[in-house]
Amino acid sequence: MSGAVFVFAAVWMTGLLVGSLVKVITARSPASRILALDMLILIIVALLVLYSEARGLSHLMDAALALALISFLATLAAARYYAKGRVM
Amino acid sequence: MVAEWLSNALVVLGLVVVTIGVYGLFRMPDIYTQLHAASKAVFLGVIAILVASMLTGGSGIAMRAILIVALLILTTPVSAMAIGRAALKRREHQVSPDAIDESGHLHRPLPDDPPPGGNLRHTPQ
Repeated sequence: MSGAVFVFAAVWMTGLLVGSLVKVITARSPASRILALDMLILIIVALLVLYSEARGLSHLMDAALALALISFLATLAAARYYAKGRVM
Repeated sequence: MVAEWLSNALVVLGLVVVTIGVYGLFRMPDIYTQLHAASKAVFLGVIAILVASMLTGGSGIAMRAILIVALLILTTPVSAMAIGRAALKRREHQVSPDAIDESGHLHRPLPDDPPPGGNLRHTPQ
């Protein structure tokens, strides 16, 4: 990935991050908010991947992996709490 | 050289697809249609960016990218199913025109039901 493409992609993804943050705040139902939060974390994962590729830092990919795993667990727990009123 | 070009093209493709997904999240009226935009478009865009990093990154980055792709392919459908099932159990109403409820969960709203979308203080049974 060349430098100009990285700068463009990073700026664009940051704009999308702000857009999905607006959706998290203004969502009309809790399920929609959980979904928007899941998507926000996916966009953060994409930003980490772009940065680690451009700078050649492989430990940022570990952070992206952990963040993807944690967001899956958090989404499952929040969805179960919304459906049943308790997590387990 | 070819890998560099292909990687640039995949990053731009991923950006376009993620942008479509975020636009769909704002555009779609209810949670059941928003799930389509978020769990397909954004997921596929992130996969495209990860494949781009597999092409030009070193071996450490490529192996971790394969791991992240496998994890996302396994977990994204499950979390989308959990969100959709929670919305169905809380009887969030379908807003899109010509929507058909084949499960029978979402019956006609009663007068004392909470407003569409539901809130956490009232638990409809």
